[in-house]
Parts: sequence; C-alpha cells; structure tokens
Amino acid sequence: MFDEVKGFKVTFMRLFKPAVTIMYPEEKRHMAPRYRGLPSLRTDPDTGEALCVACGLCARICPTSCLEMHVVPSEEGDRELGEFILRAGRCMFCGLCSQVCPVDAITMSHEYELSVMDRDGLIYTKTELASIGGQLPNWWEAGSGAFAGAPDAWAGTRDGKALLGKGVD
Amino acid sequence: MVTATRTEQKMVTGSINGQEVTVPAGTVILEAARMAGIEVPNLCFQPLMRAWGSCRICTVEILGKRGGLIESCATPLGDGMEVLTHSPGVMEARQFILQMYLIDHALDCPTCDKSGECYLQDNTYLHNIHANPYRRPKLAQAYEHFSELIDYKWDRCIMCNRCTRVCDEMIGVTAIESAFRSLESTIAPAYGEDLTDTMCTSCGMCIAVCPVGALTDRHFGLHPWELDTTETICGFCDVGCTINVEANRGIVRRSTNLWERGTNHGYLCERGKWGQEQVQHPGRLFYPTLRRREGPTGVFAYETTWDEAIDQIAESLAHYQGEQFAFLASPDNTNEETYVAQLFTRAVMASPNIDRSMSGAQANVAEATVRGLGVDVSNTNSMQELFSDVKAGLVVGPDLGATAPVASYWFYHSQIYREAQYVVISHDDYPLGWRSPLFLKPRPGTTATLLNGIAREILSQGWASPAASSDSLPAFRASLERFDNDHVSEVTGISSENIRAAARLYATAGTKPNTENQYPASLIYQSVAHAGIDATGQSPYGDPDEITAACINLAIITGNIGRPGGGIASPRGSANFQGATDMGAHPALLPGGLAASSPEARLRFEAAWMPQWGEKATTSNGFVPVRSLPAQKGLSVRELPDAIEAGRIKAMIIGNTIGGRYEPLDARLMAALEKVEYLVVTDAYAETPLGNLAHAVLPMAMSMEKDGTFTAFDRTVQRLRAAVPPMGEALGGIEIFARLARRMGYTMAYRNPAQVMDEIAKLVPGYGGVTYARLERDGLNVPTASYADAGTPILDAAHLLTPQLVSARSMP
Repeated sequence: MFDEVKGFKVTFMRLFKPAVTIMYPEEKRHMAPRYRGLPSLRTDPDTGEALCVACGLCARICPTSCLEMHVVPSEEGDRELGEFILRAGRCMFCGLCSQVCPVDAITMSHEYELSVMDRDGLIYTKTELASIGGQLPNWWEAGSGAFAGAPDAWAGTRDGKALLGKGVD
Repeated sequence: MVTATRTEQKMVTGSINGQEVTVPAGTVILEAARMAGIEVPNLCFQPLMRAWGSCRICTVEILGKRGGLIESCATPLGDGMEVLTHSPGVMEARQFILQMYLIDHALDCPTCDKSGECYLQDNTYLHNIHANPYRRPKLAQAYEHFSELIDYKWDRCIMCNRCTRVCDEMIGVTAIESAFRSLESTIAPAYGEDLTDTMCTSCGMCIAVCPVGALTDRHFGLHPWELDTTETICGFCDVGCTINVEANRGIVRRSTNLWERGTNHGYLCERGKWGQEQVQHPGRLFYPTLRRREGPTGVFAYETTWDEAIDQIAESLAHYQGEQFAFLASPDNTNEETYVAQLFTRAVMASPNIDRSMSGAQANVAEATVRGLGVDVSNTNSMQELFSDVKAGLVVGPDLGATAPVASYWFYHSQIYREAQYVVISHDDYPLGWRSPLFLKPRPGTTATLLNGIAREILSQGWASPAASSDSLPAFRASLERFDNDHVSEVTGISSENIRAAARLYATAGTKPNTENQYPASLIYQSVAHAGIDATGQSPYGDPDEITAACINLAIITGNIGRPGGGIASPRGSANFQGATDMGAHPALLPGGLAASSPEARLRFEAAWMPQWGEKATTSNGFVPVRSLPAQKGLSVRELPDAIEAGRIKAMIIGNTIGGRYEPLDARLMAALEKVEYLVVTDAYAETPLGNLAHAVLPMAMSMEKDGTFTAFDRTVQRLRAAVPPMGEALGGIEIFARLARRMGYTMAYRNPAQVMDEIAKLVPGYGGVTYARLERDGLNVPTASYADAGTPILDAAHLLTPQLVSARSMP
C-alpha cells in the first residue's frame, strides 16, 4: 500500500506544475544557440549578397563529403559560387564546415525538421540553403554572446531550463 | 638537369651540410644541393632560367672567414666551400624574410587558385611562421585583366620576376615586364595594353611559373586538391610535350606543367596550356551521325547509335572491297589507332590505298625527305641536343614560335646560355629572327634559291665537310653551278655578304676548323610543312619540296647528318605525324617502313593478320575474306583527287585532323570527295567541312580522352593517357575499327591499346623495344629493336638513313 503511494509521488508532484510536453508541431522547441541543425548559407542582410566567397573549404573538410561546391570564375577575376549542394542524408551535423568557413557564410542553422517522403528531398540546393540561412540572426547584430555562449534569453525558455538543469526538476 | 652554367666541364668539390658534393664548375649551390638530395627552399629560382636572387629564401650559410649568409641560387659552388643549408642563422634569416613578405601579401588563401601549391604557403609552413610581429593594413587591389586568359593580382605578387624572365628567355616575346619601383612595383604589359594586342603568345607560362597566385588563369576556379591529375602528352603538335591534365567530375579543368619532365622539361605553349578547351569544345561531335541524300538538294542527317552506324557502314563498305576503297588516316591519332586503321584497310578492305590525311605542303615535305634521307623522318636528331651540342643552325620557314613553340623555347635558351647562333630565314617577323645574328627575308618564292645559294657558297669556300664527299656530290655541285652568289643575291634580294655570312655561320658556326670534327655541329629546323599553300601550290616560301631537299643537301654537305647537335628537323604539325608514317599509313610502306612490294615483308604481316579472318565474311553481299595483302603501291593523298575523278576510288574513310575543323584538306581533294559514292569520316568535331560531305560521321575521342602512344617529331614514343572519358559517345579509333572489322567478319580482339602495342612490337622492326611498361616514366626514341635496346636518338647511315644529295632544280 505504502509502496504504491510512494510510486505515485512524482505523479502527484507534477500534477500542480505546468506541463513539460511541447505540443509539437503547433509548438516548436527553442534550440540552443549552438545547436547544430542543417548547415545553411547566409547572405549579407544589408546588400542581400551571398557571403560565400566560394573557397570550397567546407566541401574539402566535410568528413562525409556531403557538400558539393561548383565554382565558376567570376568576371572580376575571383571565384563565384555556381551551385552548392548539400546531401543532408549523408550529413552528420559535425559543424566542421561552419568552423572552417573564413567568412561565416555557412553556419549550422536551427533547422531540425528534416524528415522527407523521398530521398531526393534530402538534397538541398543553394537557394534552399540560403532561405534557411536567411532566418538566422547575424552574429554581428546579435552580439558575440549569441554564438559564444548560452544567452540568458534562451536560458529562460523551457528548453533552456531543461537543458541547463535549472528550474524543471 | 640542364642548367645555364653547365657548359664548362671542370669539376669542383665542396661540402653541403657535411656531405661531399662534386659538381661541374659554375653549378650554383642550390643546384648542387639538389643533386645531393638536399632541397633548399626558394621562391624565385626556376630551372633553366637565369638566377635572379630576389626572394632571398634560398639563403645559405657559407662557413669560413669570408663566409656568411648568401643566396644559393646565384652563387656557384666553389672548391672546398663548406655550406650549411639549414643552420640556425639561415633559418632565422629565412623566417625574417618570410615575415616581411607576409606583411603585404594578401593572405586570401581560401579564394586563391594557387592555394595548396603555393611556394609562399609551403615556405610559411616549412619555416613555422605562425605569427607576424610586423603588421600594417593590407593594400588590397582588384584583379587586373591582362587578357581574356590571364589575370594579375598585385597584392599577392612577391616581385620575383619569374614570369618576366620566362616571357623573355623562353618564349622570347617579353610581353610582360616589371614596372615602377618600391611599393608601386608591379608586373605589367607594355603601356598597360591588353596582352592580346602585344607580342604575347598566350602560352600561360607566366601563370605556370608564378610561385604565388599573382598571375592566374581566368578560366580556372578550383583548388589543386580537388583535381585528379594525369600525366599525358599534348595532342596538338608533334613536339610531344608532357602535360599534366587535371580533371574533376569528368571535366578537364586545366593543364599544368611537370617541371623537368618530358621533352619539354615542363614548359608549354598556348595549345598545350589551353588544349582542354579544344577537347571540351561545345562543337564536339557527340553521336554517330548518318546522312541520307534525299533528292537533288535535300540532305537529311540524323544521330544514331553505334550499332546502327556500324551496321550501315559495314554493309555499305562491303561493296567496295579492293582498290576502289581508300583510307586517309588522321596523323592526330595514336600509333595504335593508326596501326588498326591500316590493318583495316589492308587486311579487311584489301586495299593498298592508305595515306596520312595531310596538306599539300606536308605531302611535299614528306616526299622530299624520303628522296633525300631514304625514310620519312621528321627529325634525324633529338630536340634535347639543343641543350648540349648545337652550336649554330638554320631556321627556315614560318614562325617557329607558332608552329613548334616549345622547340623554339630551346632555341632562345641555347642562344642565351650556350651562345649558339642561328640564321633565320622566314617571312614572319618573330623574336627568334630579331635575336639572331642573321634574319633573312628572301623575296616570295625564293627560299629554296637562297638555300641553294648558301650550299654553293659552302662548297666554293671549302667549308664543306670532307666526310660529305659521295658519288652524288659532283652532280650536285654541277646543279648548283648557276646559284652563284651574285645571281642568288639578285633573285632573292638578300645581299651577297649576308648569303656568305649565313653560309659561314651554318657551316662553321663562326669558328676555325679543328682536326677532330672539322666544324661544330649545326642543325636545321624547317617548318615549311606549315606554310600555307594555295590550290596552285604557291606559298610565300616557294615549293616546300625544293626547300626540304635544299635543307637536306645542306646538312649532308656540312657533315651534319648523324652527329649530335646536327641533323635536320621538320616539324610537320599533327601530333603523331611521325608515328602515322611509322605505323604504315603510307601507300607503299607497311608498318615499320617495310616495302609492301617485298614478299617477305608481306608474309611477315600476313602470318599475323590473316588468321583473324573467319571462314566467310558476315556482311550480306559479295564481301570475301582476304587471304593475302595487296602488293602494289597504293594511291597517295596527292593522287587521290584524280583517281576519284576517274572513278577509281568509290568509297573512302577519312580521319579528320584537328586542323580540319575549319580548314578543309585541300581544295582539289574536297571537290573530288563530292563524287565519292560512300564517304565515312571519323571526326572529333561536328559540322566540319569534311564531315558535312560524309555519309557517315563517327565521333572520335581526342587526345586527353584516350590511351595510346604518340611518336613525337624527334621519334620519341611517349605514352598518352586518358584523363577524362570521351565526350558524348565518342570512341577511340581502335574500338571503332575493331567493331567495324568484327561486323565484317574479321576478328580484332584488342581489349586495350597495350595489346595493340604488343602486336606492333612483335611485327614492326623499329618498335621492337616499345612496351607500355618502358614508357611509363619516359619516352623512348625509335628505332629500338628490342627490350634491351635503349633507343636511337640520332639517326645516321647505320640507322635507317640513306642520305642522298638531290640535285637542285634550275634557277627560277
């Protein structure tokens, strides 16, 4: 008898606290700032130009060779990004591409909803990656904290609390 | 390794890092260290070019009282010199110099084409420069477009002047030079003009020698680590340069240089550097195309599959077995392909009519060479002798810098470093002429007269070699009777002093006779095979036949045949012209120059070829297996137009050349081809003048797309390797003719070109020692009789040649 009550202890304690369940997909998780979602391409918010200088280091360092960069020599003499392909089925979200990028053009986004109905959907092109990357804050606007450490704003969210071990149990 | 300073033979002994090194006197420390296996880092040193000493990375320490830090690329190793290449003092000095370079260097490595093969990058790693105490804001500058191919980025340039040196010393054009001083110093074309408006040949050697990414290829936008490299032979002329073809994703991205490799020592010309743009041209022919004539004007062409094309061609050609069939083999194709082509003509079609597809001038030169030397060789000697033995020479014909560019580089090199002197006889204004003691421009059509005048002058002045006296000499001397100096001067417009000076320079190299060798060696390069020739056989140079004969006569009377540094060379144009001749693409000669009229020679080939025939042919008409090879002489390319007009030739296969893309073969032949009942053309490009006449056009793989061997003009057999798959459905010649032969009932079971070469080595005397294994590292000069035979770089009377003075034709 006592054992049963003891077993329900946690249940009764949670009864009066707000629900932890996230009502996905209506409600989305807040991802940690350094969460490694789908790699994405960013553009300069002022000019709208792609930040990528087409050096190809991301494609070079990629351990699974999931990035493919097609470079075209530009009119000015340097190089331009022709097509950029990410085979997300192969990506292991290690983030090396964003680390190696000399101009922060490729960053790990917070995009985690990557399920698709067929394998072709796992192949992302330049424009798709740029539209994902366009939603990200820029580090020079968000301040270094956005990428250097966990900001307080995120720490206040339920996900933040859960992950940082504060608040929710 | 040939260096500028290795002309003296005195040896000196010094020590480098405690290691005893004995080198010829005058060898710089850097070279001596390399010979000892010690690599001295450097930025501005380029083999074969003069020392510059601007980068100071090659600093070494010389021990002793008068020692100290000194640049090793410009200091000759002295007797008893003790050198340290990596002492702490040296390393500190190098680190300091590199830090100085890195102050203003752009450091945009991620987007620099050179990144990964950059000498500055390598040296920075090598010397562990991880931080730079010296800093200032970078002086960025945009790319400067030197031409549509070459870009210059100033902020990457380290002003080592490798590019300007190569442009000046090798290419001979001095299209770019360093300009301004101090911080403003830059590399620039004269007056900042676009390079295409200058003397620039677009050879891209400035890009190739640039140790950093200052000069870049505008058409290239990848990193070296993304590319797969294939060492192969350039397929655009018969010098036979080794190129490094770099491809990725099935596309050749660039051709680079393998320094100190091949006949070209890594140097390339425009065609070699940008040859891939011809191979990957959008105008390539992708699919077999059949053409049906419908009605008087309607021509209907359609692309089809290989099976259908081979079916139709086999069924059609089967009507024309025997002498009504003729084959013109493309001299752009490999030895193996040409061998298979002539095998197809002789053993399957039973026709003796096979020749190289060549222009009138090429045919003239080939015929005259056979008359004078007994065999058709493009070069009796090796091009490498320009580095060692040549003292003087005669350069005749169109701009050598355009016809055989890399050969012309060695002429400049021997002029600068070996003090060789040349007489240039040309109608083109080009730098070799300007830099030579004598640049003669005879009146149009009188080049042969001038050469005969020079020959007469040599004979009458007693400069001829005593070894040259032969049975044909009196007749030759008599035929020159009317070419006396004054008369020749009147006809050619060259002063009689200049004729005498040219004769003296060629025959004696300006020296007095010595007992051993009479006079120093002199060579002749004549490029009249490239001379434009119109329908009436006129060119600014006159009859190529006569010029070739006159050149050979000159070489014979001065005793320059069969002698290192002598000989006679005639670059013919197509990459494998020499090989096509050797492989039997000749109306009278079986492979290896064996006469088709000789029963023993025929027996030799019949024994190998005839067993491949089945019991009966597999085509649906009166085609029969061939049991013996045709013995009679076939029709040469020059006899074909008349034979076609007369209805003796009814079906033909023509291998189109690369040059045939725009220029039709020969006006008379092109007109006659309309009358050929069935014409098959193998072509790399679509819509060529020749292809448009054909009933079937078959796509042919080009040089970067197939394996095989090429025989360069100095008879160097070299290995051609496939870097990329052929465009579209193009196939190599072996496969095309093997399929065709198989369809007709003759089994050609070659699985790869190496098998064909094995068969060639068995059957063809001069190629007896050629195997792919031996060609893996270096070329091999044919003739080479066996696997133990190292090859024959110099031909003489004991090797193939039967030099014969041919009397000069009468004076115009």
